[in-house]
Formats: sequence, structure tokens, C-alpha cells
Amino acid sequence: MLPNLWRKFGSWDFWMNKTIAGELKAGRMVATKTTGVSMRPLLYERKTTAIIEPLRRELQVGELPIYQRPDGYYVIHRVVGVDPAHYYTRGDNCTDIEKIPKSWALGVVVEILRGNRRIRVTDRGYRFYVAFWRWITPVRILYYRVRGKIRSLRKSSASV
Amino acid sequence: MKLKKGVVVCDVGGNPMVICSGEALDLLNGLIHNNKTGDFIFRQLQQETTQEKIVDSMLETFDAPREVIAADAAEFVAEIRKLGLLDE
Repeated sequence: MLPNLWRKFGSWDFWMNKTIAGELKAGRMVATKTTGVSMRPLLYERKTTAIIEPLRRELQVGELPIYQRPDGYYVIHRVVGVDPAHYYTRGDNCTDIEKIPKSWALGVVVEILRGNRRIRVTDRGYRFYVAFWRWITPVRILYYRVRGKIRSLRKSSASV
Repeated sequence: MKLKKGVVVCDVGGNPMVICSGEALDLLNGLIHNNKTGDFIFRQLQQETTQEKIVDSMLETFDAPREVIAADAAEFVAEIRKLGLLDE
């Protein structure tokens, strides 16, 4: 027999960004297009979709949680450290670390859609990317800082 | 009719769902949780098809009278069409 659930279109869960927290707290998976540049080269402004499952466990270093700041802003940044009460997160394209209470974390990214490509966090290529990115982080941060210094020196010499 | 490019019918952790990606991102910022039959219809729509063909396929898979399946499939496809997910 046909399961009659499929006739009830209300059972399709459509939701927009404002209900991400509600959906995840209710234990349902969500998907959202990503915005911003802080997670490049993994996530691109309005070109990638992140599929997120509700958080039911402690996050590990390297995982990609979604959390909500008190101003309501949702952030997807990578966990780079954990202590008993906090997660330390940083965007793949950022240099600064953010310390967030564990209670802010709502879910964890399990898949990323970029064009027709599906990237699962269990894929070997993705795990290699995470390990590689972690490995080059000190070099990347040094590069950004040197570049920033050069730019500010150029600006100050141009304004003299 | 067929699903637009970028409408992805997939299974994430055992949950059948539809997600938009790439060119279709602006159509749906979120996802559709499907059950078995919803997933079946979406998968039929991955290739060029008609409502009649969908009903025929469903008759082979599900045990229900043709008129019930035809009415429900029409309603379901209309919802998908309303979302702008179909190329016709």
C-alpha cells in the first residue's frame, strides 16, 4: 500500500534560514546556501550548500559546526580546539580564533554541495584537505600577516 | 518535464531528500525531506518524463488503484512545479 504520508505536503519540511536553529534543535537535518568568504576555499559565497545534521555529541577538532552568535548570526567555522566548556573555531580563510561556549553549537556539516559535486565529510579527499589545511595553517597565517604589514606600509608611505 | 539542473535528489545518512545546488540554489534555500514515495517521484523526474509515465511506474511499484495514484501524483507534481523545480 501507499504510505499516505506522501500525500501530505505539509510533511515536506521547507524552511528558510531563520528556522535553522529551530529545525536543528528539533532534531531535523537542514541545508543552507553558504555566504561569506571566511571558509574559502571550501565554501563559496552563494555557490555552495551545506547539509547539516543536529549535534548530538561532542565536536572533534577538524569538524565543521554551525553555531549561532547571540546577535542571531549563523557561523560555520572549523573547530581548532576544545576545552571542557568551549570550542575554539577558525574559518579556513581566517587567521583569528573565536572562543565559543559549547551551547552555541547547533549542528555539524556532513555534506557540501558545490555545483553537481557532493563532498561528504567522510570522503578521503575531504579528510586530506582538512589535514593539509591544518598542517599549512602556521604558514598561511604568517603569509596573511606579512601581506597585511606590507599593505599597511604601502598605504602609510602613499599618504606621506 | 524534468527536474531543473542543480536540483539534487539524494540520500543523506539514510534520509531521502532534495537539495538545490549550483544554478538552482535560488529556487530553494533549504531541503525537502521525502518519504519513500516522494523520493520515488523525484527520482522519476530526474529524467525527461510525463505524469502518465510516473503513474505507470508507480503502479508497478506500489499497490494502490490507478485513480488514487494518478490523483496523488498530479497533486505532488503540481507542488514541485509551484516551487519552480521543473523544466517543461
